[in-house]
Amino acid sequence: MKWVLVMEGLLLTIPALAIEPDDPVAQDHWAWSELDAPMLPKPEGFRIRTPVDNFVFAALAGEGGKAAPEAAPQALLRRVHLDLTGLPPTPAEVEGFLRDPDDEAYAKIVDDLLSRPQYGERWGRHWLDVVRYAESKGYERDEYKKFVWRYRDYVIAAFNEDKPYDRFVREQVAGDELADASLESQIATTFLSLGTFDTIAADREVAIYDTLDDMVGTTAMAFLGQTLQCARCHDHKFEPFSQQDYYRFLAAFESLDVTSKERQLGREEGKKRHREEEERYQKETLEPQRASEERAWLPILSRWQKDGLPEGRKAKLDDKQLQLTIEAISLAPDKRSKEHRHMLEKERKRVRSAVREGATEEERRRLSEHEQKLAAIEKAKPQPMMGWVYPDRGPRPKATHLRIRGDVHQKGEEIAFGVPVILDRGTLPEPRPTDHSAGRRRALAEWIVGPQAPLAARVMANRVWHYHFGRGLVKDGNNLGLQGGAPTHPDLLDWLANALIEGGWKLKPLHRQIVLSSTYRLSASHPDPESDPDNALYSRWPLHRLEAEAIRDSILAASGKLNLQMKGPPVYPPFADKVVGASSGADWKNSTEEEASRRSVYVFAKRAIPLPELAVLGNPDSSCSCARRTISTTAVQSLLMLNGRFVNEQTMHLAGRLGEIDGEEAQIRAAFDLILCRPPSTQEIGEAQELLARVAREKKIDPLASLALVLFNTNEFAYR
Amino acid sequence: MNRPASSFHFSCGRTRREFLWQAGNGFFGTAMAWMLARDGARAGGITPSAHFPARAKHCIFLFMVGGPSHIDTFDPKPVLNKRHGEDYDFKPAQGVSQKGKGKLMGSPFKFQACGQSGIEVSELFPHLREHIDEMAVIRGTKGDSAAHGAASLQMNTGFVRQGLPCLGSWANYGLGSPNNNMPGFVVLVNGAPYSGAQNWGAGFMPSGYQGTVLKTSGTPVPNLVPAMNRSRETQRDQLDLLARWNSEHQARLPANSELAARIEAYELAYRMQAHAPEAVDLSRESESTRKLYGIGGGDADRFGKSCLMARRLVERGTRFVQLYHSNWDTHGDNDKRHQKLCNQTDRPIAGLLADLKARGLLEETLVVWAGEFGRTPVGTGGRDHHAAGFSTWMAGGGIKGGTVQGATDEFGFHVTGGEAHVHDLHATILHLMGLNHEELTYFHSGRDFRLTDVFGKVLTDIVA
Repeated sequence: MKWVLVMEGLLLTIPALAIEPDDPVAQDHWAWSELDAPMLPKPEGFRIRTPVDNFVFAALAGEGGKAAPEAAPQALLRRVHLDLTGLPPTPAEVEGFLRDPDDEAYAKIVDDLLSRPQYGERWGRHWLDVVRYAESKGYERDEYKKFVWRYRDYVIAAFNEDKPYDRFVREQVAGDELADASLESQIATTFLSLGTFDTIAADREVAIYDTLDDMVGTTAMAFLGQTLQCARCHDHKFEPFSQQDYYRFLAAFESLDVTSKERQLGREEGKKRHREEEERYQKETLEPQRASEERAWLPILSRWQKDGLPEGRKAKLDDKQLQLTIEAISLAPDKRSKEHRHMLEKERKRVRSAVREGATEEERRRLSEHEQKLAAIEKAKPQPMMGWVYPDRGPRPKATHLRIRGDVHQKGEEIAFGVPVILDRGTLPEPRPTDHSAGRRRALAEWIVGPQAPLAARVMANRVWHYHFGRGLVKDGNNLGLQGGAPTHPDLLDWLANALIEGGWKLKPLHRQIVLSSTYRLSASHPDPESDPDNALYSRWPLHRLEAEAIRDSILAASGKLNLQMKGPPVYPPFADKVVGASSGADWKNSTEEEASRRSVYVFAKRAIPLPELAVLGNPDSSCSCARRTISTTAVQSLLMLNGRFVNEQTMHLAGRLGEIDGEEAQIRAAFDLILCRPPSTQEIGEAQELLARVAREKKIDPLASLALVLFNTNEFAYR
Repeated sequence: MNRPASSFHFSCGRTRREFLWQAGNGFFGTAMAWMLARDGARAGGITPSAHFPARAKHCIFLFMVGGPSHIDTFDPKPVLNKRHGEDYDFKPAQGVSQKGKGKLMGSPFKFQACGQSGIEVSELFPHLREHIDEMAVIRGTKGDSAAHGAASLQMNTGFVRQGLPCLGSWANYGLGSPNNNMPGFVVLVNGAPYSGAQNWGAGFMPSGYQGTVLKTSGTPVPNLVPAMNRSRETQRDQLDLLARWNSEHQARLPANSELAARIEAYELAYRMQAHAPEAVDLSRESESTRKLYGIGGGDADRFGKSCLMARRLVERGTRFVQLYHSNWDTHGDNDKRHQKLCNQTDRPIAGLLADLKARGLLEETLVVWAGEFGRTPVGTGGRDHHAAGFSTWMAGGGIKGGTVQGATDEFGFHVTGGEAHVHDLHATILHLMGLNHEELTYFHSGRDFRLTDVFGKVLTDIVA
């Protein structure tokens, strides 16, 4: 089991493949086996609402445990709103539910939340973690990757329309190779190009293979939950993946040009259509409006030619130019000479300001109207559809070679495209070359979500569970290998995976099974927590930290400043320390306050300088796929939340909002409703009143802002 | 995330150390201590600690951004000087040197044997070289990349890729922070390095391990002063109410270490507001101390302040302080610019060593001086990037002073013996801090990661 490697005069002993694919340990590994179709257990004495409860409560009953009581309606409502949309319920929504908190009303609310566009923003953001989303290249220069945001919008739309997950996978891995490839599916392949790239690497080959390595690693982790990346330089030490397995997989991607940049998307027809649209716009929209502006010029120019300019006005055209312009306007477009056209095109701006010189006040007003109309029309000019996707080099890629010890300059044996032996069930389709590529990525994608797709379904079902409950049934969603550990509820995981496939790979039905369950509705308190000290059995709601984005967005929602505009290029909230530690801070622009108050998923994701409000609170480093965010608790976070400019500004906005309400007690109630989504207790009202009285000593700060700051910093606010 | 506290670790090969940090902690020790007490009582916990007795409790890493010329500072090359102007073609050193062919370029700076050890140092460092007997000069240093971004990352994280934790993160992960009122890993930036904040990033470790940038002027810690300036009384009132509401919230719930840690973090933040300004307040230093560091206008003023701040931080228990000074990327006008850059750093670094020694801190503080690489012996006026052989040095905690590790050829191009790869520097630094680089691991993405990957050897010849 050992082989010896001579390396720069150094003798290293590296174990060969630690586990062979035919080892029983590998053969019997739960995650690689076919999906079970588990029977629904029937635990006694629990309120069963969906099959999720059958499994969870059966396991709980098996340990002699008891479920916590159900959460109070307001707690449940806050939980499910934040879970499905990343935003808190409004006071009116809380009030509505409190009036009518029964199952039917709750189910309606769930359906409503799943149909809101904010659902896609919330769950799309989860997916962006998995695919290491960022909009810059990283490394020394950290250049902006233009149009990567189209992929963010694609993901949000995919979640909102409940695009079947198998289709979602096919589009991201091979959207350009599909028979029904579209602009949208081509944008989806931005997935492949989200990684870092060192544009000024000392060794460009190394940079290219590092980027391909990122592609292999992310694809294997995101869709298969496997740590194939570890087999780049040598056989995997803990999993039955050989170095050959790694390069088989790499062959799917090797022909992508990872050094390319943004380019026009679409096939030839689409590009032709764009050219036609552009012509049509020119003819039918732009030119008529220009002609109408020109007609407004004509009397003014004629008067100028006849009577001269009024006293004190400057002649911005000479006589010849004036004559040419008047002629040009009077002639039909196809009768104009080159000189004529020159005046109306290249010199248009000068002519425009020359006309103003000759115009009366009334005429100037009308000229301005023309100019505004024209400016609006120019804004609507059809733009080519650009995207940041890697082009494929063609239907006949070069042979893939194993690289000895991962050294790109040391080619080893030739390797044919394929999948890791341990995962191969003979279901990998033969690649069908397209006009621009070998079709290997499509074959790979078909295999990932193919008829027997235990891994793809298990991995995604586990992710869905993870984001609902703050932890997975398998704890590391990117590792369902031998080292990943067993699921806490294997039958439940397989049931969810089956349900995902049987439901046509749609996620929304799966969400319903989960959030409508009794398990999901349990209180975070339990009369006897020690019976399940770590809550491994879900005997109570697993309280967990809100993500950075949900914290920031909830603050904006409470302050009333949240701007729900969707889509488009990223926004740039103000950033005080951006100069620190970045040789490439130049592309952090300044958005208006309104723009900056959009949801966090739209904030510019720059690798070298992430927005502190997000990075300090745990938005992941985008160097590689992230299945679960690390939760850290630091004083730097506390300082940010207590003293930071963003939070303090929002407390001022919120104070303004509260100030419109009459009476201190009502203001306190409203603050609790907006921030914690529940009414305060009598005692809390008293304590808040006491604070308001004490902090009135601050002349420049509204006491209500000081109260809001306390509420934004509570654990209750930061946990769900 | 509300992780189960006992069912989670050893099953996936994680060390207890990792588990404790992941379960909700950061670089501030207090919350951790609380957890250790709680957890230790339950499961017989192990505190994060050294693998063996440490020679150095702290490390001050002086990072010379851009790559200083070894040929003009710590590695005299009389043959090169003699053959100045000749055309020469070194064996190709792809990736590790920017220029192997061209005119040889000697150094105009005079070297002199210094101290008891007689090690030769250039006249560019007239003050620093007085401390040569405290220093181990590593003339055989070698890295894997001659590109700034990648090489800077390697000097800090061991890898030429991004996304890995840096040395300061590893040290705090391994050892914890001795000070409850201050961050355990502080970064002072006088000119940003290539690859930016990645250089002090925690990579896949929890964000709490990343370096905290203290500004060298104005407010030292981000958000230390409220954006809306409220009085300390008001803040105390707010924190009192926050603590009350948080504890009522917690009382309604089963015990939860994260919630408790978060409550404590607010108190720590409050204390930091009181302590951090004092820790970086250089006006509390005597005039003679300030002068020692070259503070008082002039070229050395700025870096002198950072060096003095580093001493104050170390004195207060900060585990790892990293200083950045830029920019040594002297492609043009090598000599004049080196003169200036050395003027900016000579007194400050010499002052730091002298001051640490006078206070008895040098024996427990490891001082490291390095750029991301050195510079080529060929060039006309300027020198290019060169990672195939260059000089770094260490002094203080556990270092055998007055020693030289390794050598380069007569031109300063290739290492000819006693090679010290960046991995070896890292292994040595961890060793001196009491950590075995092969045992200090972090489980991520299916495997155990090390600062030194699968490489690294302790440079025993320079260890006292």
